[in-house]
Order: sequence, then C-alpha cells, then structure tokens
Amino acid sequence: MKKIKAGKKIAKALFVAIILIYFLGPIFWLLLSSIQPEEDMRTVPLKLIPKNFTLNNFRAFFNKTLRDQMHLPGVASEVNSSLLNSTIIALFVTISNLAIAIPAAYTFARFSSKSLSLCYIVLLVCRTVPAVAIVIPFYIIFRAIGLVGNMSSVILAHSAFTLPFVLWILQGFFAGIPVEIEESAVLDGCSRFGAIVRVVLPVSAPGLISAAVFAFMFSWNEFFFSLILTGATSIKTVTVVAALFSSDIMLKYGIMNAASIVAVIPPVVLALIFSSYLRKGLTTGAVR
Amino acid sequence: MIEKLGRKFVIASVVPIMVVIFCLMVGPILYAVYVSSHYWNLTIPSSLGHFRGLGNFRDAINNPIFFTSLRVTLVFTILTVSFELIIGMCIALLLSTLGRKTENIILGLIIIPWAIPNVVNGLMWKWIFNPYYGVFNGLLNFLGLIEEYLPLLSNPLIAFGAIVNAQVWKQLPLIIFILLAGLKSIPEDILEAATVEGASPFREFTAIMLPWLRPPLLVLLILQTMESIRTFDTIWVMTGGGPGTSTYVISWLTYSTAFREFDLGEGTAFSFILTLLTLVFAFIYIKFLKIQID
Repeated sequence: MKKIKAGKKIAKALFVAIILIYFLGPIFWLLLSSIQPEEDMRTVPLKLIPKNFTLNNFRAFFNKTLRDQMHLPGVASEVNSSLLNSTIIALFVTISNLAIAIPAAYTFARFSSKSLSLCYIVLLVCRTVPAVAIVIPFYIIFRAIGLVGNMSSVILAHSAFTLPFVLWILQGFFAGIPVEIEESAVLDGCSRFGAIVRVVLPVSAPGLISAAVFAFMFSWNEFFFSLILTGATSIKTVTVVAALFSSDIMLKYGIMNAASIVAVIPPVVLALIFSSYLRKGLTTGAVR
Repeated sequence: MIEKLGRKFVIASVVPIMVVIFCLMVGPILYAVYVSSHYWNLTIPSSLGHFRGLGNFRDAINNPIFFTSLRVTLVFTILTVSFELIIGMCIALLLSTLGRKTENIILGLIIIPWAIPNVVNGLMWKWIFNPYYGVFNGLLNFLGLIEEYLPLLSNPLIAFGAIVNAQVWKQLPLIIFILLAGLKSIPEDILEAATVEGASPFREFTAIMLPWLRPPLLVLLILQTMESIRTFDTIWVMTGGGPGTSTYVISWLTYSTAFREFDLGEGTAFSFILTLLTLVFAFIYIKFLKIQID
C-alpha cells in the first residue's frame, strides 16, 4: 500500500515537473538567449549551459549608434520610440474602454428590456468577429482620412476588440454584486448614482482591475492592426518591431531575442502580478 | 428601483458604447461588403474600381490556393482544438489532485504562455527550431539522434507541426484554468457518494466529471475553434504561409491577397469567407449562451 502511494506521489511530481518544463522552458530559453553574446549563440554544436552573459543585446536594442554599427538593415532604426508607443496606445485603450464600458455594463447587469437584449446580442456577436474581417476597411478608411501612422487609428482599432470583451467581463462582475448593497446605501441617504459610485465600484474593484489588465495586455500584444496601421512610420509598437527584426536578413540573433524579451516583459509582469484577478475574469464567464 | 434611475440613465449609459461599436465594427463590416463587390487593386493608381457583384467571390473560390488554404485551416483547427481540450483536461485532472498551495503556485506560473504576445510566441519557437543554432536541433544532436542540424521549419510537415505546437502551447493555460475551476465546482458529496459506492476513478470521470464539465467544454470548444481559425500573428512570424502552402491558413490568404498582391476586392472576399466560417461557430456559441441564461 505504502509503495503504491509513494509511487503515485513520485509519478505526480514527475508529471508536474514535465508540465512546468514544457510551459516555462521555452520562455526561459528565450531569456537565456537574449543575454548571451552573439558569437556564443552561433557555436555549433550548441552549448546547452551558457558560460558568458552580457547585456549588450539589450544595449544594442535601445541604442541607435550601436545598432548602426551592427549594420542591421531596415527596421532597426525605428526601435527607440516603440516602447513608448506601445505604452501610450495601451493606456489610452484601457482608460477609454473602461470609461465607456462601465456605465453600459452596469445597465446591462441591472436592467433588462427588449432593446437592451438586442444591444447585448450585437455586442456578443462583435466579440466573435475575426480581425481580418475589418482590417481592410480600417486600412482604407484610415488611409483616406490620413490617420495611418497616427496612434489614434491604432487605439480605435484595438478598442474595436477590447470593448466587447471588457464589457462582458464588467457585466459579469456587476451582475454578481447583490442589489441589496445598493438599496441599503440608498436607504442610508445616498442618491442612486451616489450609491453606484460609492458602493458598487469599490466592491467591483477586482472586476475593474481584471478588465483593465485584459485591455492593456490585449493592446500591447496586438500585432495585425498595429502592423497595417503604422506602416513605415515611427509609431510602430514593440510587437511590430520585434516581428520585423526577425524577418530581416543578416540577422543578429542576440538583438532579435532581446527585442522579444522587451516585448514580453510588460504583459508577463502584469499577468504575474494580477494572476488571480485574470484567472477570475477568465473563468467567470465560462463556468457557471 | 428601475423607476428611480429612469430611462435617461439607461439610454445615456448604453448609447456611447453602441455608437462606438457601430462606428468601429458594424460600419467597417458594411463597408467591407461594399468593397468586396467592387474591383479594387492598389497597384493601379485609382480608388474604387467598377462594380463586380459577386465576381470577387467567384475569383476567390476559383483561386488555386483557396481550397488548399481551407484544408490547412481545417486540419490546423481540428488538431489544435483536440490537443488543447484533451491535454488540457488531463492536466486539469492532475492539478485538481494537488494541494491548494502547490496548485496556486503552478497556476500562477503557467499563466505566462497565455500572457505573451502571439508574435513573441512565434519568434520564440522560430528560434528554438532555428536550422543553424536552434536548441531543438541542439537537443537532438546532444541525444545522439542526429549528426548534422536539420532545417526544421523548411519541412512542410514539421513547419505545420510547429505552428500547431505553438498554438496549443499558448492556449493550454486558459483551458486548464477553466476546466480546473469547473472540476473544483463539483460538489463534494457527489464525489464522496461515488467513492462510497465503489466507483473506479475512471467511472468517476466518465459518469460525474465529464457531464458536469459539459458546459465549459462546449464553450471552450467553440471559442477555441474560433481562435484557431483566426490565427495570424504566429504564422506571419514563424512560417509566412510556407514552406510551400503547408501553413497557408485563410487569414494568411486574406492578408497576402490584400497587402502583398494589393487586391483589396478579392482580399475582402476572402475575409468574408473567413468571417462566415467564424460566424457559424459564433452563432452556435450565442445560442448556447442563451440556453444557459434561460
């Protein structure tokens, strides 16, 4: 009996180890690759345990003079503002989406009517629209009004996809807050609107955080629209820059991996910090 | 309570989002319908060309790559979703037997693949499968399986396997979260009753857990199918539709037609076919949700 139990435990531990290696290993390898000197990476056969470490790849990523020295073709010159671009765009998307979605989510959660249901269904359908369906119209329209290469076009494009999702999460959270809380606040002398601001919002803070982090991450990670709408301009986002780095010939692998790591750090850090909020947001809708 | 807030509030709170969504989604889709019925090639310096009715759609379907692309997309979707659900289920089952602390640590860690941009996912795997210095080659060599490094992503089958792997790797954490949450929501007494009655673990699984998990499994099936149909970023970065046409999914075909061949009319037609595919599943999803709500 004991042997079987011990055996089971070992088997479980082994599987867990395999799972962790499978999910974390590749990222870890990416990280390792980004802090290795260029020459070390080009050794064959591969040294699985690297000896030398360097931050030169990251220095090169951020420093224009160093990049010029490396004779990197094409996109390498537009890197500098990409981090800022991604951040600005993501922040605008998050804040504007929350501002628009919170009132609507509250209404959808508390009231129902035929027209409201219709609106809700429209929004649900929009959640399922694939990016390709609207990327061409977006490109044509924004090109016509001269907004290609302007951050607002990217912000609008991202919002098209984050809005339905943010609404869905918020509505789920609001619906989970008992009406009695608002009613007792009103009994205590609040106006209905005051009750919402003073009671419902604080209570739904996890939902707000969840929605905000989702919106930010989606915007940061987005590639297709960012690629099409930023064209050959200097407002490229980090994801676009990282992708373009890899498609150039005469590649320097170190800087390519450094670019990937830079693109990866904000969303991963956000995900690790807000992990429980995100998980709650993801499972609220799917598990009833 | 409803009377207290009044119609004004309801309208004022919902109108902004509906207007925005109309401008950002509904409008562009309608415009896409318009574009798809005209000839519009950006290499010819003019704007909208002549009306073609369904001509673009006919060209789209007659495009030699179209059915290959459809097949690739279908196989990709079936493989990814199957792997995601089956492997995800197994991992969720395993994790459900662990203590709360361990489970929290593991869940907190495996959120990472879900969090990274699709682009980086593709770049990461592309580097791992690099033909000259990739670690996959390195491992194969280290294990004595190969002498010389293989040009992995130049092989159609391996390239396809690589994108399936990349997609599954990234999506699994989500599946695991949801299925695990579902497993933990099964009431203790039902499981205890089963053990008392001497049910084997397998029987427990098939008779209790699977039926209980049917709602989230169905939701995941639909959502992940739509997600797989839409895959674009990873393929842009990893394989560019190739080698040959082995990873030429419909979203890539749309992109290629519209932004590399500059044929906006036909590109829009392809995007509609993809949207139609997605809508079928979206329709099922919404029907399913409505049943849940009622």
